[in-house]
Amino acid sequence: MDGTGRGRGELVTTALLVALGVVIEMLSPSAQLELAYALRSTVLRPVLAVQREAARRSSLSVRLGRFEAERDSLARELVAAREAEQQNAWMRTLLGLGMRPADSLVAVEVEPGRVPGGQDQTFLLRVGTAEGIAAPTGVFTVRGLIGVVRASTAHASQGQFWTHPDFRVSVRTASGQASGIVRAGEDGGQRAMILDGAPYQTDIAPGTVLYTSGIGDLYPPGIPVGTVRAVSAVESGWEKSYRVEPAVRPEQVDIAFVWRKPSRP
Amino acid sequence: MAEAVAPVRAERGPGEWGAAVTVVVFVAAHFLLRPLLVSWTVAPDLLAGGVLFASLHARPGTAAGVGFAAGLLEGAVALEAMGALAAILALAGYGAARSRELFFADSPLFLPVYVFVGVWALRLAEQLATGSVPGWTGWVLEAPASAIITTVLVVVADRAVTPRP
Repeated sequence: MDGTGRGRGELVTTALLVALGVVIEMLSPSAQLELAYALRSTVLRPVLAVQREAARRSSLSVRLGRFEAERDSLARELVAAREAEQQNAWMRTLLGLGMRPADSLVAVEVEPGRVPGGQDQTFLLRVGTAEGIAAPTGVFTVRGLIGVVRASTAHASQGQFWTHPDFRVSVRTASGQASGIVRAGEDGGQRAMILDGAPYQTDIAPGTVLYTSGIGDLYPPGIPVGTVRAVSAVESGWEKSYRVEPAVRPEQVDIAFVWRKPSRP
Repeated sequence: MAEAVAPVRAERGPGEWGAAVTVVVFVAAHFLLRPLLVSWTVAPDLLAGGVLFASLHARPGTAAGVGFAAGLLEGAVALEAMGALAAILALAGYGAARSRELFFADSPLFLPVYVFVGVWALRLAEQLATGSVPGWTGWVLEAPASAIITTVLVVVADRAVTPRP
């Protein structure tokens, strides 16, 4: 083949590769996840195994301390929850109500994804529809909400951390007096949350903890989302926005729980 | 200009193997050291370095293939913009190899400038593709600093595998 013919062939090859890239980009999130999962389970498997092992060894003592603290706090909450559960069942029996469909949690290791120079915005979970995970559904740790599962295949799910620009969660205060929508934002150059749509007449004091409201059936109610820091903007006579310190930052996450929603009749 | 230089690079036998191994080392190091590299504010972009190194030593079509494969793997690890990264790196590999054929000069400054500009542009393109738009410090401090470190590594690797007359 002469130089011009070879040059044209290379141009065509490149054009085909670019077109293939565009096609992959246009695939559904589940199909993209299938492809990513296939690459991670084959070509990238040794590299990811080395990375995981190195990360595990380097943070072993920190993880141990954190697990012990989480275990202690969970044990306390479990005792309190058992009592509340028994009382709830007794009240429902007295009122003649049926039992609520049970929901459950799936514990899973979070594998964050990130480009160099970029931020933690997405993550992979090695559980999927076969384990009862149905996207979209909430992902959280003992300390609070970390994000949402956006796409699932049989044995893998892809999620977005709260830092993702598309992330939104409906929240309320513990008293239920104020509510709003939390999204990702910035506070002094650091990633933080912003509470939008809080009522104008109600002041939310700094230090107030925000919890998931459970509206929309995307997240279980009562999961801590963050703590209010200060007012960030006021829409005169209409609504207020607040800066919120997140309950959990993506870099602090290793093990999380995925909410397996109860099946509705 | 292209006619004077292209034959010299095309005639290398052992050098071509050395170049192929170097590209593999760059890409493998990128994925192995990734957790470390992404946590540093300024770190070498070994993936961009590997693709540009391939474009220095291979035909444009081959460089595009290397870029496509590297982009696909990067997208699978980053869990973002897999197709966009593959397309961007394929275009970068082809474009860089073509520009090398068109502009490669004897000037000792050409190679560092070529790699520096390439890494800087690629870094920003990758970040834009994944939707993590960098602030002004990202554009004028972190990306150029990362490009400088990568340039040093690529130039050193190029000196090591390219036979000198």
